[in-house]
Amino acid sequence: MEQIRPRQQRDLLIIGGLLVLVAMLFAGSLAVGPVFLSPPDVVAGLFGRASAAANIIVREIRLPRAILSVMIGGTLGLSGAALQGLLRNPLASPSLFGAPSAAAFGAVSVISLGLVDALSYALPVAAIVGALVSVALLIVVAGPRASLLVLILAGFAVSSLAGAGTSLALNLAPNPFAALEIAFWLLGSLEDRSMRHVLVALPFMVVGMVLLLWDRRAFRALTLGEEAAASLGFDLTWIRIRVVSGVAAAVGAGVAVAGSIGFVGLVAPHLMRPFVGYDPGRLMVPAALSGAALLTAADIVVRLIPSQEEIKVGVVTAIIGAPFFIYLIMRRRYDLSGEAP
Amino acid sequence: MNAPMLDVRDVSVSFGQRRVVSDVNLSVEAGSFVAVVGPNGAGKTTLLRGIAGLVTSSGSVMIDGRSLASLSLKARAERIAYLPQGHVFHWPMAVSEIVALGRLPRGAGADLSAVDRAAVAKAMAETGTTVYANRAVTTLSGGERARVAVARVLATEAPIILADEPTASLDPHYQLAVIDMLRRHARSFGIVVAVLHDLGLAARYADRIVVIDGGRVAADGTPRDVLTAARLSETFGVSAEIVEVKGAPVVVPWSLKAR
Repeated sequence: MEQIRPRQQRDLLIIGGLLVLVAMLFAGSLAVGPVFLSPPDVVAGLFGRASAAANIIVREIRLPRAILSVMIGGTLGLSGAALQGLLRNPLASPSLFGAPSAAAFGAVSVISLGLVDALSYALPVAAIVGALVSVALLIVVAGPRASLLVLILAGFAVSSLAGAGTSLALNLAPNPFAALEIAFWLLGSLEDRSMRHVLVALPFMVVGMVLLLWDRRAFRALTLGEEAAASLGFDLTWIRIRVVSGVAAAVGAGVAVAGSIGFVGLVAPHLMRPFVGYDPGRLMVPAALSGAALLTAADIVVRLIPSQEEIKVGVVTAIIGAPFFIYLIMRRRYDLSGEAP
Repeated sequence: MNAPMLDVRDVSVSFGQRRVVSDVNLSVEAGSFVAVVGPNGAGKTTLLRGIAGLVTSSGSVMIDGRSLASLSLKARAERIAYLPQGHVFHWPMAVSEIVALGRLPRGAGADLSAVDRAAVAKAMAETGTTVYANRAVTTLSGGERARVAVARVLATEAPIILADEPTASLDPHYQLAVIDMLRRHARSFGIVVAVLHDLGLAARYADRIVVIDGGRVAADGTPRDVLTAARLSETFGVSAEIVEVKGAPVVVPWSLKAR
Protein backbone atom coordinates (compact mmCIF):
# COMPACT_ATOMS: atom_id res chain seq x y z
CA MET A 1 0.00 0.00 0.00
CA GLU A 2 1.36 3.33 -1.06
CA GLN A 3 -0.13 5.48 1.67
CA ILE A 4 1.95 3.89 4.41
CA ARG A 5 5.54 4.99 3.92
CA PRO A 6 8.42 3.48 5.85
CA ARG A 7 8.07 5.43 9.05
CA GLN A 8 11.16 4.09 10.75
CA GLN A 9 13.36 5.57 8.04
CA ARG A 10 11.75 8.99 8.30
CA ASP A 11 11.96 8.94 12.09
CA LEU A 12 15.65 8.06 11.98
CA LEU A 13 16.23 11.03 9.70
CA ILE A 14 14.47 13.36 12.14
CA ILE A 15 16.31 11.89 15.12
CA GLY A 16 19.63 12.13 13.27
CA GLY A 17 19.00 15.78 12.43
CA LEU A 18 18.11 16.57 16.02
CA LEU A 19 21.23 14.78 17.28
CA VAL A 20 23.38 16.96 15.04
CA LEU A 21 21.57 20.06 16.34
CA VAL A 22 22.04 19.02 19.99
CA ALA A 23 25.74 18.26 19.33
CA MET A 24 26.23 21.70 17.77
CA LEU A 25 24.48 23.44 20.67
CA PHE A 26 26.52 21.35 23.13
CA ALA A 27 29.71 22.57 21.46
CA GLY A 28 28.33 26.11 21.51
CA SER A 29 27.60 25.79 25.21
CA LEU A 30 31.25 24.84 25.83
CA ALA A 31 32.45 27.85 23.85
CA VAL A 32 30.33 30.51 25.56
CA GLY A 33 31.12 32.21 28.84
CA PRO A 34 32.43 35.35 30.51
CA VAL A 35 35.99 34.31 29.63
CA PHE A 36 36.64 34.16 25.90
CA LEU A 37 38.24 30.93 24.75
CA SER A 38 39.00 30.22 21.10
CA PRO A 39 37.57 26.97 19.65
CA PRO A 40 41.02 25.28 19.63
CA ASP A 41 41.45 26.29 23.29
CA VAL A 42 38.05 24.80 24.13
CA VAL A 43 38.96 21.50 22.45
CA ALA A 44 42.39 21.45 24.12
CA GLY A 45 40.81 22.35 27.46
CA LEU A 46 38.35 19.51 27.13
CA PHE A 47 41.26 17.07 26.99
CA GLY A 48 43.23 18.92 29.68
CA ARG A 49 45.87 20.18 27.28
CA ALA A 50 45.25 23.91 27.43
CA SER A 51 46.43 26.34 30.11
CA ALA A 52 45.52 25.43 33.68
CA ALA A 53 42.81 28.13 33.76
CA ALA A 54 41.32 27.04 30.44
CA ASN A 55 41.32 23.39 31.56
CA ILE A 56 39.33 24.27 34.65
CA ILE A 57 36.92 26.58 32.81
CA VAL A 58 36.09 24.01 30.12
CA ARG A 59 36.12 20.80 32.16
CA GLU A 60 34.78 21.91 35.51
CA ILE A 61 32.57 24.88 34.71
CA ARG A 62 31.27 24.61 31.17
CA LEU A 63 31.21 20.84 30.61
CA PRO A 64 28.91 19.96 33.56
CA ARG A 65 26.68 22.86 32.59
CA ALA A 66 26.38 21.64 28.98
CA ILE A 67 25.80 18.03 30.07
CA LEU A 68 23.12 19.08 32.55
CA SER A 69 21.30 21.24 30.02
CA VAL A 70 21.12 18.29 27.61
CA MET A 71 20.07 15.83 30.35
CA ILE A 72 17.48 18.07 31.99
CA GLY A 73 16.08 19.41 28.71
CA GLY A 74 15.87 15.86 27.37
CA THR A 75 14.05 14.43 30.37
CA LEU A 76 11.70 17.42 30.47
CA GLY A 77 10.83 16.95 26.79
CA LEU A 78 10.30 13.24 27.33
CA SER A 79 8.20 13.80 30.46
CA GLY A 80 6.02 16.30 28.63
CA ALA A 81 5.54 13.99 25.65
CA ALA A 82 4.67 11.05 27.93
CA LEU A 83 2.15 13.05 29.96
CA GLN A 84 0.61 14.52 26.82
CA GLY A 85 0.34 11.02 25.37
CA LEU A 86 -1.19 9.63 28.54
CA LEU A 87 -3.64 12.50 28.98
CA ARG A 88 -4.20 12.92 25.23
CA ASN A 89 -3.87 16.62 25.76
CA PRO A 90 -1.20 18.90 24.26
CA LEU A 91 -1.49 21.20 27.29
CA ALA A 92 -0.20 18.61 29.77
CA SER A 93 3.23 19.12 31.30
CA PRO A 94 5.20 17.69 34.24
CA SER A 95 4.03 20.42 36.63
CA LEU A 96 0.47 19.13 36.19
CA PHE A 97 1.36 16.20 38.41
CA GLY A 98 2.85 18.34 41.16
CA ALA A 99 6.25 16.68 40.94
CA PRO A 100 8.39 19.80 40.33
CA SER A 101 6.73 21.75 43.16
CA ALA A 102 7.16 18.87 45.56
CA ALA A 103 10.78 18.43 44.50
CA ALA A 104 11.35 22.14 45.01
CA PHE A 105 9.74 21.95 48.43
CA GLY A 106 11.99 19.02 49.38
CA ALA A 107 15.08 20.99 48.44
CA VAL A 108 13.89 24.23 50.04
CA SER A 109 13.22 22.42 53.33
CA VAL A 110 16.83 21.33 53.39
CA ILE A 111 18.07 24.85 52.67
CA SER A 112 15.82 26.23 55.42
CA LEU A 113 17.11 23.73 57.92
CA GLY A 114 20.55 25.07 57.18
CA LEU A 115 21.91 21.71 56.14
CA VAL A 116 22.93 22.70 52.68
CA ASP A 117 26.48 23.81 53.46
CA ALA A 118 27.30 20.90 55.71
CA LEU A 119 25.73 18.28 53.52
CA SER A 120 25.61 19.40 49.94
CA TYR A 121 24.28 16.03 48.86
CA ALA A 122 21.21 16.62 51.00
CA LEU A 123 19.77 19.07 48.47
CA PRO A 124 19.41 16.76 45.47
CA VAL A 125 18.41 13.81 47.60
CA ALA A 126 15.67 15.84 49.32
CA ALA A 127 14.32 17.06 45.98
CA ILE A 128 14.13 13.54 44.59
CA VAL A 129 12.46 12.31 47.79
CA GLY A 130 10.00 15.20 47.54
CA ALA A 131 9.06 14.26 43.98
CA LEU A 132 8.69 10.60 44.87
CA VAL A 133 6.59 11.37 47.96
CA SER A 134 4.30 13.55 45.87
CA VAL A 135 3.84 10.75 43.37
CA ALA A 136 3.21 8.16 46.09
CA LEU A 137 0.70 10.52 47.69
CA LEU A 138 -0.92 11.05 44.32
CA ILE A 139 -1.36 7.33 43.78
CA VAL A 140 -2.82 6.83 47.27
CA VAL A 141 -5.19 9.79 46.95
CA ALA A 142 -6.29 8.91 43.44
CA GLY A 143 -6.59 5.16 44.01
CA PRO A 144 -5.46 2.40 41.69
CA ARG A 145 -8.14 2.84 39.01
CA ALA A 146 -8.40 6.59 39.09
CA SER A 147 -9.67 8.54 36.12
CA LEU A 148 -7.29 11.10 34.70
CA LEU A 149 -9.42 13.93 35.97
CA VAL A 150 -8.93 12.65 39.52
CA LEU A 151 -5.18 12.40 38.87
CA ILE A 152 -5.07 15.97 37.58
CA LEU A 153 -7.03 17.30 40.56
CA ALA A 154 -4.89 15.33 43.00
CA GLY A 155 -1.77 16.65 41.25
CA PHE A 156 -3.08 20.18 41.60
CA ALA A 157 -3.72 19.64 45.33
CA VAL A 158 -0.27 18.17 45.86
CA SER A 159 1.45 20.98 44.00
CA SER A 160 -0.56 23.60 45.92
CA LEU A 161 0.46 21.99 49.20
CA ALA A 162 4.11 21.88 48.17
CA GLY A 163 3.91 25.47 46.94
CA ALA A 164 2.47 26.55 50.29
CA GLY A 165 5.30 24.72 52.07
CA THR A 166 7.87 26.51 49.92
CA SER A 167 6.24 29.87 50.57
CA LEU A 168 6.29 29.13 54.28
CA ALA A 169 10.01 28.39 54.12
CA LEU A 170 10.57 31.69 52.31
CA ASN A 171 8.32 33.43 54.83
CA LEU A 172 10.26 32.06 57.78
CA ALA A 173 13.71 32.49 56.25
CA PRO A 174 16.01 33.56 59.09
CA ASN A 175 17.78 36.27 57.10
CA PRO A 176 17.64 37.97 53.67
CA PHE A 177 20.53 35.86 52.44
CA ALA A 178 18.69 32.60 53.11
CA ALA A 179 15.57 33.99 51.41
CA LEU A 180 17.66 35.12 48.45
CA GLU A 181 19.26 31.70 48.18
CA ILE A 182 15.87 29.96 48.14
CA ALA A 183 14.45 32.41 45.63
CA PHE A 184 17.42 32.31 43.27
CA TRP A 185 17.46 28.54 43.36
CA LEU A 186 13.72 28.40 42.63
CA LEU A 187 14.28 30.45 39.48
CA GLY A 188 16.12 27.54 37.92
CA SER A 189 19.70 27.88 36.78
CA LEU A 190 22.57 25.81 35.45
CA GLU A 191 25.21 28.20 36.75
CA ASP A 192 28.07 26.78 38.81
CA ARG A 193 27.10 23.14 38.59
CA SER A 194 29.72 20.45 38.97
CA MET A 195 30.23 16.94 37.69
CA ARG A 196 28.92 15.77 41.05
CA HIS A 197 25.54 17.29 40.21
CA VAL A 198 25.64 15.37 36.93
CA LEU A 199 26.41 12.10 38.69
CA VAL A 200 23.73 12.60 41.35
CA ALA A 201 21.02 13.25 38.80
CA LEU A 202 22.08 10.71 36.18
CA PRO A 203 20.88 7.41 37.69
CA PHE A 204 17.43 8.81 38.48
CA MET A 205 17.14 10.31 35.03
CA VAL A 206 18.09 7.05 33.35
CA VAL A 207 15.45 5.16 35.36
CA GLY A 208 12.90 7.86 34.54
CA MET A 209 13.70 7.75 30.81
CA VAL A 210 13.38 3.97 30.67
CA LEU A 211 9.99 4.13 32.40
CA LEU A 212 8.76 6.90 30.12
CA LEU A 213 9.90 5.24 26.90
CA TRP A 214 8.28 1.95 27.97
CA ASP A 215 4.73 2.84 26.89
CA ARG A 216 5.26 4.34 23.47
CA ARG A 217 2.88 1.86 21.84
CA ALA A 218 0.24 2.49 24.51
CA PHE A 219 0.36 6.24 23.81
CA ARG A 220 -0.48 5.48 20.18
CA ALA A 221 -3.42 3.30 21.23
CA LEU A 222 -4.62 6.04 23.59
CA THR A 223 -5.28 8.19 20.52
CA LEU A 224 -8.53 6.22 20.37
CA GLY A 225 -9.41 6.89 24.03
CA GLU A 226 -8.94 4.84 27.17
CA GLU A 227 -11.58 2.19 26.52
CA ALA A 228 -10.36 1.46 23.02
CA ALA A 229 -6.74 1.39 24.24
CA ALA A 230 -7.67 -1.08 26.97
CA SER A 231 -9.52 -3.19 24.39
CA LEU A 232 -6.33 -3.27 22.33
CA GLY A 233 -4.60 -5.07 25.20
CA PHE A 234 -3.01 -2.23 27.20
CA ASP A 235 -3.18 -2.21 31.00
CA LEU A 236 -3.90 1.41 31.80
CA THR A 237 -3.35 1.13 35.54
CA TRP A 238 0.28 0.09 35.08
CA ILE A 239 0.83 2.60 32.32
CA ARG A 240 -0.25 5.41 34.67
CA ILE A 241 2.00 4.13 37.44
CA ARG A 242 4.98 3.90 35.08
CA VAL A 243 4.45 7.37 33.59
CA VAL A 244 3.91 9.06 36.95
CA SER A 245 6.95 7.35 38.52
CA GLY A 246 9.06 8.09 35.45
CA VAL A 247 8.11 11.75 35.55
CA ALA A 248 8.87 11.91 39.29
CA ALA A 249 12.31 10.36 38.92
CA ALA A 250 13.29 12.39 35.87
CA VAL A 251 11.84 15.72 36.92
CA GLY A 252 12.80 15.30 40.58
CA ALA A 253 16.41 14.72 39.63
CA GLY A 254 16.35 17.72 37.29
CA VAL A 255 14.79 20.09 39.80
CA ALA A 256 17.27 18.85 42.39
CA VAL A 257 20.31 20.00 40.49
CA ALA A 258 18.96 23.01 38.58
CA GLY A 259 15.81 24.26 40.29
CA SER A 260 12.50 24.72 38.53
CA ILE A 261 12.81 25.08 34.78
CA GLY A 262 9.36 25.35 33.29
CA PHE A 263 7.70 25.03 29.89
CA VAL A 264 10.40 22.95 28.15
CA GLY A 265 8.21 19.89 28.72
CA LEU A 266 5.28 21.72 27.17
CA VAL A 267 6.98 23.29 24.17
CA ALA A 268 9.39 20.54 23.07
CA PRO A 269 6.77 17.88 22.18
CA HIS A 270 4.62 20.48 20.50
CA LEU A 271 7.40 21.55 18.13
CA MET A 272 8.09 17.99 17.04
CA ARG A 273 4.53 16.75 16.65
CA PRO A 274 4.00 17.76 12.98
CA PHE A 275 7.24 16.01 12.00
CA VAL A 276 6.04 12.61 13.25
CA GLY A 277 2.52 12.81 11.86
CA TYR A 278 1.11 13.68 15.30
CA ASP A 279 1.85 10.11 16.40
CA PRO A 280 2.29 10.24 20.20
CA GLY A 281 4.49 7.12 20.19
CA ARG A 282 6.90 8.26 17.50
CA LEU A 283 7.00 11.66 19.19
CA MET A 284 8.89 10.47 22.28
CA VAL A 285 12.53 10.45 21.17
CA PRO A 286 12.30 13.60 19.00
CA ALA A 287 10.58 15.41 21.90
CA ALA A 288 13.43 14.46 24.23
CA LEU A 289 16.03 15.70 21.74
CA SER A 290 14.18 18.93 21.03
CA GLY A 291 13.90 19.51 24.80
CA ALA A 292 17.65 19.06 25.08
CA ALA A 293 18.22 21.48 22.20
CA LEU A 294 15.82 24.07 23.63
CA LEU A 295 17.31 24.13 27.10
CA THR A 296 20.90 24.13 25.83
CA ALA A 297 20.06 27.00 23.47
CA ALA A 298 18.34 28.91 26.28
CA ASP A 299 21.37 28.36 28.49
CA ILE A 300 23.61 29.79 25.76
CA VAL A 301 21.31 32.80 25.39
CA VAL A 302 21.47 33.70 29.09
CA ARG A 303 25.25 33.86 28.84
CA LEU A 304 25.14 36.07 25.75
CA ILE A 305 22.71 38.65 27.16
CA PRO A 306 24.83 41.47 28.55
CA SER A 307 23.77 42.07 32.15
CA GLN A 308 25.43 42.51 35.50
CA GLU A 309 23.93 39.42 37.06
CA GLU A 310 23.52 36.40 34.80
CA ILE A 311 19.86 35.91 33.90
CA LYS A 312 18.54 32.57 35.18
CA VAL A 313 17.68 30.09 32.45
CA GLY A 314 14.39 29.23 34.18
CA VAL A 315 13.33 32.85 33.72
CA VAL A 316 14.08 32.75 30.00
CA THR A 317 12.18 29.50 29.43
CA ALA A 318 9.22 30.92 31.35
CA ILE A 319 9.25 34.22 29.43
CA ILE A 320 9.19 32.32 26.13
CA GLY A 321 7.11 29.39 27.35
CA ALA A 322 4.22 31.06 29.16
CA PRO A 323 2.97 33.12 26.20
CA PHE A 324 3.33 29.98 24.10
CA PHE A 325 1.14 28.16 26.62
CA ILE A 326 -1.51 30.87 26.33
CA TYR A 327 -1.31 30.64 22.53
CA LEU A 328 -1.83 26.87 22.74
CA ILE A 329 -4.86 27.29 24.98
CA MET A 330 -6.37 29.81 22.59
CA ARG A 331 -5.75 27.65 19.55
CA ARG A 332 -7.11 24.62 21.31
CA ARG A 333 -10.22 26.58 22.22
CA TYR A 334 -10.88 27.38 18.57
CA ASP A 335 -10.10 23.79 17.59
CA LEU A 336 -12.61 22.49 20.06
CA SER A 337 -15.42 24.88 19.31
CA GLY A 338 -18.30 23.11 17.64
CA GLU A 339 -16.75 19.73 18.21
CA ALA A 340 -17.69 17.03 20.70
CA PRO A 341 -15.08 16.73 23.45
CA MET B 1 -10.92 -17.00 11.07
CA ASN B 2 -12.11 -19.83 13.29
CA ALA B 3 -15.80 -20.08 14.08
CA PRO B 4 -16.14 -18.07 17.27
CA MET B 5 -18.64 -18.72 19.97
CA LEU B 6 -19.40 -16.19 22.67
CA ASP B 7 -20.93 -17.45 25.87
CA VAL B 8 -21.80 -14.96 28.59
CA ARG B 9 -22.86 -16.65 31.84
CA ASP B 10 -24.34 -14.93 34.89
CA VAL B 11 -22.40 -11.75 34.27
CA SER B 12 -22.99 -9.02 36.83
CA VAL B 13 -21.26 -5.67 37.18
CA SER B 14 -21.40 -3.48 40.27
CA PHE B 15 -20.05 0.01 40.84
CA GLY B 16 -19.67 0.18 44.60
CA GLN B 17 -23.02 -0.77 46.09
CA ARG B 18 -24.90 -0.18 42.87
CA ARG B 19 -25.54 -3.21 40.70
CA VAL B 20 -25.64 -2.04 37.09
CA VAL B 21 -25.77 -5.38 35.31
CA SER B 22 -27.40 -8.43 36.93
CA ASP B 23 -26.97 -12.07 35.95
CA VAL B 24 -26.96 -11.64 32.20
CA ASN B 25 -26.82 -14.82 30.15
CA LEU B 26 -26.15 -14.59 26.44
CA SER B 27 -24.93 -17.21 24.04
CA VAL B 28 -24.01 -16.09 20.54
CA GLU B 29 -22.98 -18.23 17.60
CA ALA B 30 -20.72 -17.33 14.72
CA GLY B 31 -22.43 -15.41 11.97
CA SER B 32 -24.81 -13.57 14.27
CA PHE B 33 -25.58 -9.91 14.53
CA VAL B 34 -27.08 -9.25 17.95
CA ALA B 35 -28.65 -5.90 18.78
CA VAL B 36 -28.79 -4.84 22.43
CA VAL B 37 -31.60 -2.37 23.03
CA GLY B 38 -33.07 -0.81 26.16
CA PRO B 39 -33.83 2.48 27.84
CA ASN B 40 -31.14 5.00 28.76
CA GLY B 41 -29.25 3.90 31.86
CA ALA B 42 -30.38 0.29 31.54
CA GLY B 43 -26.80 -0.97 31.68
CA LYS B 44 -26.25 -1.72 27.99
CA THR B 45 -22.86 -0.02 27.74
CA THR B 46 -21.73 -1.53 31.04
CA LEU B 47 -22.78 -4.97 29.83
CA LEU B 48 -20.73 -4.50 26.67
CA ARG B 49 -17.74 -3.33 28.70
CA GLY B 50 -18.16 -6.29 31.03
CA ILE B 51 -18.12 -8.71 28.09
CA ALA B 52 -15.03 -6.96 26.70
CA GLY B 53 -13.29 -7.26 30.07
CA LEU B 54 -12.99 -3.48 30.43
CA VAL B 55 -14.73 -3.44 33.83
CA THR B 56 -14.52 -5.94 36.67
CA SER B 57 -17.44 -8.33 36.51
CA SER B 58 -18.59 -11.51 38.19
CA GLY B 59 -19.75 -14.52 36.25
CA SER B 60 -17.87 -15.73 33.23
CA VAL B 61 -17.34 -14.81 29.60
CA MET B 62 -16.27 -17.76 27.46
CA ILE B 63 -14.87 -17.49 23.95
CA ASP B 64 -14.64 -20.79 22.11
CA GLY B 65 -14.93 -22.57 25.43
CA ARG B 66 -12.07 -20.62 27.01
CA SER B 67 -12.65 -18.23 29.83
CA LEU B 68 -11.85 -14.61 29.03
CA ALA B 69 -10.29 -14.24 32.48
CA SER B 70 -7.72 -16.94 31.65
CA LEU B 71 -6.57 -15.11 28.51
CA SER B 72 -3.77 -12.55 28.46
CA LEU B 73 -4.69 -8.98 27.55
CA LYS B 74 -3.11 -9.50 24.15
CA ALA B 75 -4.98 -12.77 23.52
CA ARG B 76 -8.20 -11.04 24.51
CA ALA B 77 -7.50 -8.15 22.17
CA GLU B 78 -6.95 -10.61 19.31
CA ARG B 79 -10.43 -12.07 19.88
CA ILE B 80 -12.58 -9.14 20.92
CA ALA B 81 -12.60 -5.71 19.33
CA TYR B 82 -14.40 -2.89 21.09
CA LEU B 83 -15.85 0.11 19.31
CA PRO B 84 -16.59 2.81 21.90
CA GLN B 85 -19.27 5.45 21.60
CA GLY B 86 -18.58 8.71 19.87
CA HIS B 87 -15.77 7.80 17.44
CA VAL B 88 -13.30 10.10 19.17
CA PHE B 89 -9.75 10.61 17.90
CA HIS B 90 -7.46 12.69 20.07
CA TRP B 91 -4.61 13.52 17.67
CA PRO B 92 -4.85 14.64 14.03
CA MET B 93 -3.11 11.51 12.73
CA ALA B 94 -3.54 10.32 9.14
CA VAL B 95 -6.51 8.00 8.61
CA SER B 96 -4.30 5.12 7.47
CA GLU B 97 -2.27 5.47 10.69
CA ILE B 98 -5.45 5.42 12.79
CA VAL B 99 -6.71 2.28 11.08
CA ALA B 100 -3.27 0.70 11.60
CA LEU B 101 -3.70 1.13 15.38
CA GLY B 102 -6.02 -1.85 15.12
CA ARG B 103 -2.91 -3.92 14.45
CA LEU B 104 -1.29 -3.10 17.82
CA PRO B 105 -2.47 -6.33 19.52
CA ARG B 106 -0.76 -8.25 16.71
CA GLY B 107 2.52 -6.62 17.64
CA ALA B 108 2.67 -4.02 14.87
CA GLY B 109 5.74 -1.85 15.38
CA ALA B 110 6.83 1.42 13.85
CA ASP B 111 6.60 -0.14 10.41
CA LEU B 112 3.83 -2.52 9.46
CA SER B 113 4.47 -6.04 8.24
CA ALA B 114 3.00 -7.19 4.93
CA VAL B 115 0.23 -8.99 6.84
CA ASP B 116 -0.58 -5.84 8.83
CA ARG B 117 -0.60 -3.72 5.68
CA ALA B 118 -2.95 -6.16 3.97
CA ALA B 119 -5.36 -6.12 6.93
CA VAL B 120 -5.33 -2.31 7.03
CA ALA B 121 -5.87 -2.05 3.26
CA LYS B 122 -8.74 -4.54 3.41
CA ALA B 123 -10.43 -2.78 6.33
CA MET B 124 -10.15 0.56 4.54
CA ALA B 125 -11.49 -0.86 1.30
CA GLU B 126 -14.45 -2.46 3.07
CA THR B 127 -15.36 0.79 4.79
CA GLY B 128 -14.71 3.04 1.81
CA THR B 129 -12.08 5.02 3.70
CA THR B 130 -9.19 4.42 1.31
CA VAL B 131 -9.83 7.82 -0.31
CA TYR B 132 -9.12 9.57 3.00
CA ALA B 133 -5.96 7.54 3.73
CA ASN B 134 -3.63 10.54 4.01
CA ARG B 135 -6.05 13.01 5.53
CA ALA B 136 -5.90 14.01 9.18
CA VAL B 137 -8.70 12.13 10.89
CA THR B 138 -9.85 15.23 12.79
CA THR B 139 -10.68 17.02 9.52
CA LEU B 140 -13.31 14.42 8.59
CA SER B 141 -17.06 14.77 9.13
CA GLY B 142 -18.81 12.77 11.84
CA GLY B 143 -20.01 10.18 9.35
CA GLU B 144 -16.57 9.80 7.80
CA ARG B 145 -15.00 9.44 11.23
CA ALA B 146 -17.51 6.72 12.11
CA ARG B 147 -16.39 4.75 9.07
CA VAL B 148 -12.75 5.20 10.05
CA ALA B 149 -13.58 3.94 13.54
CA VAL B 150 -15.21 0.85 12.04
CA ALA B 151 -12.19 0.36 9.77
CA ARG B 152 -9.90 0.48 12.81
CA VAL B 153 -12.02 -2.21 14.49
CA LEU B 154 -12.10 -4.39 11.36
CA ALA B 155 -8.31 -4.08 11.03
CA THR B 156 -7.89 -5.93 14.34
CA GLU B 157 -9.28 -9.02 12.57
CA ALA B 158 -10.86 -9.99 15.87
CA PRO B 159 -13.79 -12.34 15.24
CA ILE B 160 -15.97 -10.67 17.87
CA ILE B 161 -16.89 -6.99 17.58
CA LEU B 162 -18.67 -5.23 20.43
CA ALA B 163 -19.99 -1.88 19.21
CA ASP B 164 -21.49 0.76 21.48
CA GLU B 165 -24.06 2.86 19.62
CA PRO B 166 -22.12 2.78 16.35
CA THR B 167 -24.86 4.67 14.50
CA ALA B 168 -25.57 7.36 17.07
CA SER B 169 -25.61 10.92 15.70
CA LEU B 170 -25.07 9.77 12.11
CA ASP B 171 -27.27 10.80 9.20
CA PRO B 172 -29.42 8.07 7.58
CA HIS B 173 -26.86 7.40 4.87
CA TYR B 174 -24.03 6.75 7.31
CA GLN B 175 -26.31 4.85 9.70
CA LEU B 176 -27.03 2.35 6.96
CA ALA B 177 -23.41 2.33 5.79
CA VAL B 178 -21.99 1.60 9.25
CA ILE B 179 -24.55 -1.02 10.22
CA ASP B 180 -24.15 -2.70 6.87
CA MET B 181 -20.38 -2.98 7.39
CA LEU B 182 -20.93 -4.53 10.79
CA ARG B 183 -23.46 -7.00 9.45
CA ARG B 184 -21.09 -8.01 6.68
CA HIS B 185 -18.52 -8.80 9.36
CA ALA B 186 -21.05 -11.01 11.17
CA ARG B 187 -22.01 -12.72 7.91
CA SER B 188 -18.38 -13.62 7.26
CA PHE B 189 -18.60 -15.86 10.29
CA GLY B 190 -17.86 -13.30 12.94
CA ILE B 191 -19.97 -12.07 15.83
CA VAL B 192 -21.28 -8.54 16.26
CA VAL B 193 -23.00 -7.38 19.42
CA ALA B 194 -24.12 -3.77 19.00
CA VAL B 195 -25.96 -1.43 21.33
CA LEU B 196 -28.54 0.34 19.19
CA HIS B 197 -31.15 2.94 20.02
CA ASP B 198 -32.79 2.88 16.62
CA LEU B 199 -35.30 0.06 16.92
CA GLY B 200 -36.00 0.22 13.20
CA LEU B 201 -32.35 -0.44 12.35
CA ALA B 202 -32.20 -3.15 14.99
CA ALA B 203 -35.27 -4.85 13.56
CA ARG B 204 -33.98 -4.74 10.02
CA TYR B 205 -30.38 -5.74 10.56
CA ALA B 206 -30.17 -7.86 13.70
CA ASP B 207 -30.67 -11.61 13.72
CA ARG B 208 -31.55 -11.30 17.33
CA ILE B 209 -32.53 -8.56 19.74
CA VAL B 210 -31.71 -8.58 23.42
CA VAL B 211 -33.71 -6.14 25.53
CA ILE B 212 -31.92 -4.93 28.66
CA ASP B 213 -33.95 -3.22 31.36
CA GLY B 214 -32.73 -2.44 34.85
CA GLY B 215 -29.52 -4.36 34.19
CA ARG B 216 -31.36 -7.59 33.38
CA VAL B 217 -32.32 -9.34 30.18
CA ALA B 218 -35.99 -8.47 29.73
CA ALA B 219 -36.41 -10.22 26.39
CA ASP B 220 -34.25 -12.12 23.94
CA GLY B 221 -35.28 -13.38 20.54
CA THR B 222 -35.86 -12.56 16.88
CA PRO B 223 -36.93 -8.99 16.10
CA ARG B 224 -40.46 -10.20 15.34
CA ASP B 225 -40.76 -11.96 18.69
CA VAL B 226 -39.23 -9.21 20.77
CA LEU B 227 -40.55 -6.01 19.24
CA THR B 228 -44.15 -6.34 20.35
CA ALA B 229 -46.44 -3.54 21.44
CA ALA B 230 -46.61 -5.01 24.95
CA ARG B 231 -42.82 -5.22 25.26
CA LEU B 232 -42.25 -1.67 23.99
CA SER B 233 -44.85 -0.36 26.38
CA GLU B 234 -43.30 -2.16 29.35
CA THR B 235 -39.66 -1.40 28.61
CA PHE B 236 -39.72 2.01 27.01
CA GLY B 237 -43.05 3.39 28.22
CA VAL B 238 -44.23 4.17 24.72
CA SER B 239 -47.16 3.06 22.74
CA ALA B 240 -45.80 2.10 19.34
CA GLU B 241 -47.17 1.35 15.92
CA ILE B 242 -45.60 -1.75 14.47
CA VAL B 243 -45.97 -2.21 10.75
CA GLU B 244 -44.31 -4.62 8.42
CA VAL B 245 -42.31 -3.35 5.46
CA LYS B 246 -40.78 -5.85 3.03
CA GLY B 247 -40.94 -8.60 5.63
CA ALA B 248 -39.27 -6.66 8.43
CA PRO B 249 -41.06 -5.15 11.40
CA VAL B 250 -40.85 -1.35 11.53
CA VAL B 251 -41.37 0.27 14.87
CA VAL B 252 -42.76 3.78 15.11
CA PRO B 253 -42.92 5.06 18.71
CA TRP B 254 -46.18 7.01 18.71
CA SER B 255 -47.04 8.35 22.14
CA LEU B 256 -45.90 8.24 25.75
CA LYS B 257 -47.32 5.74 28.15
CA ALA B 258 -46.71 5.16 31.83
CA ARG B 259 -44.10 2.44 32.32
